[in-house]
Amino acid sequence: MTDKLPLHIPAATATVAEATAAIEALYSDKLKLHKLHQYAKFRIEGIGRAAEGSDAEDLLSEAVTRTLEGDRKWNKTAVDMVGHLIGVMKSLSSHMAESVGTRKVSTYLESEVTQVTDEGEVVSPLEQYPSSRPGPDRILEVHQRVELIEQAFKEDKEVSQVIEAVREGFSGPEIQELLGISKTEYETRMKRLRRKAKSIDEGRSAVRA
Amino acid sequence: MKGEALSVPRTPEDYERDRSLLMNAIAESVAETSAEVLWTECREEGADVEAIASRTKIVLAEAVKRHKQQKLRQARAEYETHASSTWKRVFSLPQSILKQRELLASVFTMKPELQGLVTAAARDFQALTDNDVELILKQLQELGALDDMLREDNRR
Repeated sequence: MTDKLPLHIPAATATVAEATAAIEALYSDKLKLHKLHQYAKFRIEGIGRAAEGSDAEDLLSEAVTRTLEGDRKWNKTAVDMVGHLIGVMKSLSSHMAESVGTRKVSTYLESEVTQVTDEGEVVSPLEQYPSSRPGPDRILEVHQRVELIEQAFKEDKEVSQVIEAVREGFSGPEIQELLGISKTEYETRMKRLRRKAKSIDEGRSAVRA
Repeated sequence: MKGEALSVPRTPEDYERDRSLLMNAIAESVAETSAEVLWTECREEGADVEAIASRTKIVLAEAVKRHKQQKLRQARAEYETHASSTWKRVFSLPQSILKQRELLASVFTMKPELQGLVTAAARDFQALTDNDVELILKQLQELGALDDMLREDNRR
């Protein structure tokens, strides 16, 4: 008996010209453009304060730039351009979250960095920069967001189960296995969660406006 | 999984982590969903999907344009650096006055017709000062009269 040979798909890295053409081809595909934006939006939400002011459009723009500069190669046989850009955005946002979490900072006494101006005014450079720790408003906002999502599904046991599993750190396939549900059922539940998260977000935006 | 997990008091860090996990899970569900379904879903919720797509198109187009402009700037800078170094290599005059006099002598020997371009006084080669020699060479260079000779000289 001979062992089956593993399926080998050769990686075909696209040239920059091919990647550029594939990105330009997306200009006329409204549905795919919308999908890219939706993905970027939730990824930025996911990294929270680690985004440091970057929004969904910044994340997408960076993914395109990295691709065109050749930093992120597009394997055109494995994935289409939308899938590639989603992968790059995922990697970039994870990196942003990690770099903020592991950023090394030197410690100084405030008295070591204060300066006196020509007019004799004492100025601390620390006052010019926001703290990397979340402020009370931010804590409250995050708290409310999570609570609102959980409250919204209090009566929906199916989605509540998914939320709980996500909070415990399980991935999509793991949750399917854990709950004994099909991929389609999982996607249906995620769709309900997604829709509610969006409506909560829009409600909060409207209140802020 | 613990059924009572939702009622356990959580710290701000717990909420931050939970929000992060939830949003990332939703992002992955977006990646797994077809563009058509997402479009319909958002439109039904009242989102201005056309406007979102238009803005996203601009984001892509601007990133592509920036990249192309950067490539052009790089190419231009490389060309200018190359042209400048070529110019210096081919057209620089010898530094020593002795070499400059040798060059002027060979110019007049090889191209006697150039002697007509300089004044009568300058034709008395030995009487020329060092400054005169350099000045004449620079003038001949500006006229392009030395191009062939300097290229030859640099090749050697």
